[in-house]
Amino acid sequence: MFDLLFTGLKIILTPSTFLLITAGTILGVIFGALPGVSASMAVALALPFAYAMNPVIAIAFLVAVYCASITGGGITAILFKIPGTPSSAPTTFDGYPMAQRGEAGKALGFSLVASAVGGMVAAFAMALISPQLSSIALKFGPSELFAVSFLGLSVLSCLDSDNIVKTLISGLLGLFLACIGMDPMLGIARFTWGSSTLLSGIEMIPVMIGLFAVTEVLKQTGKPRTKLESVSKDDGDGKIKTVLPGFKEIWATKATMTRASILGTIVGILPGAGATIASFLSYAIEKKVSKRADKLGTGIADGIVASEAANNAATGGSMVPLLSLGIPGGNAAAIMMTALVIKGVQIGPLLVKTQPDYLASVFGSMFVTNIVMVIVAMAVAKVFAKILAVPYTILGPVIVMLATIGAYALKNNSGDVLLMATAGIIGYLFVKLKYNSAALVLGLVLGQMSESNFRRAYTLTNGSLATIFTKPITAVLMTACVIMLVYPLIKFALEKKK
Amino acid sequence: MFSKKVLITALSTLALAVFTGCGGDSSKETKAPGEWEWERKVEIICPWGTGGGADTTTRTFATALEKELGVPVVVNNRSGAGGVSGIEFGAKQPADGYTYIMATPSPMLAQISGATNYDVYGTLQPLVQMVHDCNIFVTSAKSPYNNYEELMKYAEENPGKVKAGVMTITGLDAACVMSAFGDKIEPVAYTEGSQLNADVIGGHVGIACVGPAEVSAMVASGDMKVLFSATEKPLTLPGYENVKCAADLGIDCFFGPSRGIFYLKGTPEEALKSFEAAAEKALASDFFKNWAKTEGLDQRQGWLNRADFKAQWDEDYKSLTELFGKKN
Repeated sequence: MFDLLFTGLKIILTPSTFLLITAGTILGVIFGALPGVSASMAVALALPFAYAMNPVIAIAFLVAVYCASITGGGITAILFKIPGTPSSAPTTFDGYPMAQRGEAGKALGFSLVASAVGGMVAAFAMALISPQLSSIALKFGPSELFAVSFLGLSVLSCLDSDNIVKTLISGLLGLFLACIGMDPMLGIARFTWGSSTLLSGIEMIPVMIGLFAVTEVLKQTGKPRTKLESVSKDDGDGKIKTVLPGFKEIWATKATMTRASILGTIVGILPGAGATIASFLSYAIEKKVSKRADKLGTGIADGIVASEAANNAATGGSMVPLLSLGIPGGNAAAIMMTALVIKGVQIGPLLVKTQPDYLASVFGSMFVTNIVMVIVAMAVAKVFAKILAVPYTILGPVIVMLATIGAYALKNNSGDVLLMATAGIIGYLFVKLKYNSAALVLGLVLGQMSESNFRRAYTLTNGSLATIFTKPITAVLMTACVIMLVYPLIKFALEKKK
Repeated sequence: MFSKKVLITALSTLALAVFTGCGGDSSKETKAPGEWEWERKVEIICPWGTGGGADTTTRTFATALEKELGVPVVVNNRSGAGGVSGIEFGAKQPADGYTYIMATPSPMLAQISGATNYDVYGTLQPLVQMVHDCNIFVTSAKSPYNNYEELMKYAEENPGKVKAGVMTITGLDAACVMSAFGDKIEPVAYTEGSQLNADVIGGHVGIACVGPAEVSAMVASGDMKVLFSATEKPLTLPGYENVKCAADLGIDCFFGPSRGIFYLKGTPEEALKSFEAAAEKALASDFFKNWAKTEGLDQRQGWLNRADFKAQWDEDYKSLTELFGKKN
C-alpha cells in the first residue's frame, strides 16, 4: 500500500503534473460552483485538455477536476443556496442558515475540511481494499439497490418531526414527479400530456435550483427592506472571512465525519447510485442517529459535514469498480473511462495487475487534490463571498439570472427554465404552507432508482416477492427501513401516554 | 457634416463590397453552375448529451468534416426525451443547408412504440451514415452456459430463469433479444449501463445485449463470456476469435445502433450534394478511421450514401414496426 502511495506521489509531484493537477482543481472548483454544471459535465468539459496528455497524467488530471467540482458545488450552496451540483443540495440545509447568521466563513471551512476528509477516506479505501469492495458491490443486484433507495425514502418520516403529514405529502409529490416521463421499464410515456419536454422526465437540477435558489430570492424579496439589506452582511465588520474551523470544532464532528465518509464511499461503489444519493442518504441518516439531530437544518456544522464528506467520498468510491472491474460507478467515471479507452488503455482487473501506475496515479491525484483543493477553494470562496456584501436588491436578480443560465445550460433547453421557475413558485408556496422542499427533492432523487430497481427485481424473480425480500442484504436493509418508519409512531404513542 | 460621414461610409462600403466581390470571383476555383458554396458555419444538432457515444462520434466527424467544407462545423447538444427533444428543436430551424441533425433509430423507435406522438420518421430525412455499431450477447464467467446452443438448452430446462438485460425495452438491443429468442428469454430494461454490467458479472441477470466497446475490459479480464455476436459476419476484434455470429447460427437479429446525419425537407439540393461528398471524404480520412478502430466501430460498413442510408432507414422502420407493433 505504501508502495502505491509512493509511486502515486512520485508521479503526481513532478512539477508539470503537479501544475496540471492544480489547474484541474481550479477548473473543477469553478465548474462545480457554477449552477447547472454537474460534476460529469465538468469532466466532459475538461476532456479535450486530457486528450493531449499522457494517459497516466490524463486520468490524474480528470480525477482532480471530478473531486474538485463536487467540492465547488458546496460553495454556492452555502453562500447563495444554489446547489452547484445536485449532490450539494443537502449542504444548503445547514450551510445557508449558517451563512445567514454571519458564519459563512466557518460554514465554508467545514465544507472544505469535510470534503477533503471524505475524499481521503475514499482514496485510501480504493487503494487498500479495492478488489474486496468491488466484490461486495457485485452482491448488490436490483433488489438490494431497491432496499438502499427505500432506506433513503424511509427517512422522509423524520425530516421534519413537527410536520410529519405535510413532509410525507411533499415526499409523495416528489415520488409522483419522478414517475413523469418515459416509463423506465416499458418505454411508454407517463403523465406527459403529449409534451416532449416532459417525456425525458423531470430534471433534478432545474427543480433543485428553483426550489432552493429561486424560492430564497422570492422569500427575501417579500421581507421588509431594512432586514433585506442586513441579510447579506456578515455581522461584525461587514467582511466575510473564510476561517477554517479550529481542530476542536472539527473534532466535535468526528462521528458525523466518519459515518458520512464511510457511507459515501460505499454508496459511490454501488452501480447506479452516486454522489447525490450519497449526500442525501448521509444527511438523512444523521437526522436519525446524530446526538444533535433536532438541530439539523438550523445551521449546524454536522449537516454540512454529513453532506460534503459523503459526496466527496462517493467520487472516490465510484473509481473502485472502474479501476478494479472496468465498470464506471457514475457518469463522470464513465467519461473518464472513455478518455482512457480512446488512449488505448484497457481498464479493468488486468489494469491493476499489469499497469499499477494508473491506480497509483488516481490514488496520488486524489490525495494531492484533496489538499490543494482546500487552498484553491478557499481562494475561490473568498471571491464568491465578496459578492455577499452586495445589497440583496442587486444580488437577488443576479441569483435568478445565474439560476436561469444554469437551468438552460443543462440541456440547452428552455423547457428546463420553465421547470425551474415553476419549482421556484412551488417552493415559495411550500415555505408559506409549511410543506417540505427537501422531502420533495428526496422523493424525486430516489423515486426513479427505487421504482426501476423494484420492477426489475420483480421481473427477474418472475414476480416472487418472497424471493426479493428474503435475500440477506435486502432483508437486513428492509428491516432497518421498517424500524425507521415505525419509530416515530411508537414515539408518538409513548408521548401521548405520558 | 453628418450626411457627409454617412455618404463616405456608404461609398466605402459599396467599394469594399464590389472589391471583395470581384476578388472572390477571381481567386476561387471555377464552380460548376448550381454548385453549393459554403459561406458560414454548419451546425449539427446532437440530440444527446456531451460525452456519450452519439456525441463523440458526431464531434469526431465534425472535426474531419470541417477540413472538407472549409467552414467551421459546430455540434449543438440538445438532449432530452431519448433524442426526440433535439429533433423537434432541429425541425424548427430554417432548412437553408446549414443545419443538420444527428440521429440513430432510437427516437424513431420511441415513435413506433408509442412513447411520443412526434413524427420522427417523417421529420428526419436520411443523408449519410457515419458508423454502424453492433450488438453482442454476454454472460457472467460463472454461468453454466458457454454459447448459444448451451444457453437455449438451459433456458428450455429452466423456463423463466434466464432474462436478458437491455438498455431500453423499445431499443435496438431489445429488438435483438426479441428476434433472437422469441418468447424463450424476456428482455429486462436497465437505466444505467454500469448497473447492467455489474448485474451480469454478479449473476443477477442471466445475459445482456450490449455493444462490444462497453464490455471489452470485462471480457478481456475473463469476468464475462461472449455467447455470440448479433452480426452478419464474425467480429475481427481481438479476443473474439472463437465467438460465433448470428448469421452462422441461423438467427436473424442484426439490429445495431447506426449513427447518421439527417436533413430537413426543403434543404437546397446543392447543399445536400456538397455535404454528402464532403462527408464521404471525412469518413474515409485516416483521422476518423483510426478513431473508429480504437472504438471498435470498424466491424460494419459505416459510410452509407444518401440513397443507401434512406433504403436502410426505411427498412429499419418497416422491420421494427413489425417487431414492436406500431402505436403512433
